[in-house]
Amino acid sequence: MNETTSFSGIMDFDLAYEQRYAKVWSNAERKILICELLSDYVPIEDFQEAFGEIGHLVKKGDYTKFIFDKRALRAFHQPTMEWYFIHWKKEMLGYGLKTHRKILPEEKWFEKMVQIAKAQILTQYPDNIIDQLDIAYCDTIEEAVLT
Amino acid sequence: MKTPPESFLLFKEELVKAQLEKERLKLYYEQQLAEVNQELLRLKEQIQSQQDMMRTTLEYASNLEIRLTEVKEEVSQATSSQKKSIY
Repeated sequence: MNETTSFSGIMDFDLAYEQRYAKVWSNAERKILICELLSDYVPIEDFQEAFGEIGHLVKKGDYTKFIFDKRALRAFHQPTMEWYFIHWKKEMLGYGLKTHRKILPEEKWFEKMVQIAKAQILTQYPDNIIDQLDIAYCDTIEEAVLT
Repeated sequence: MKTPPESFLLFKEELVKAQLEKERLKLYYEQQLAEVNQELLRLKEQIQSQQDMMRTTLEYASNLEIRLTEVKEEVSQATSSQKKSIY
């Protein structure tokens, strides 16, 4: 995979992994991984496969920031979000992945849905590690890279 | 033993070819069917997720409505008790 992109000229990212529902970009120098979802919905099996691959990259490399571009999404699966939010993030924190930047679709209803779902997950898992993470929402990849 | 006529050998050869083609097509259709079934499972999961999202939204809206009614009652009670204390 030799594909390279430059998000508006900020920095070059190499395509590290690609499947039907997601593309993963990496920049070892900046210690950043970007996951761009490509479809309005990602089945749990494919989501876990993609995040398993991202996990391998995190374990092999020295990445500290993860940018999750969910702008293509229009529906999400609560158990998938639970797995990502509670289990995957916790495991990755153990490998130094502490900074998370998220880009949501523009639709306000989606943002609200995410808030509701997140609140439910946090209530369900009170021993979560959210307070140990640096999480912020951004509008663009550029902003996510720079903040 | 007599040698079979040439037409029979040709027929036999065509039969083998046809059987091989049949097997190929069978495998091809089985593969296509498996892909369609896989896609169907994905779509079912998506529909289920969308239904769950709708249910969560409605529950959220319903809770908000209950809370709004409670606040209205609290405001109404507070206003009436205030009036009583004044007059």
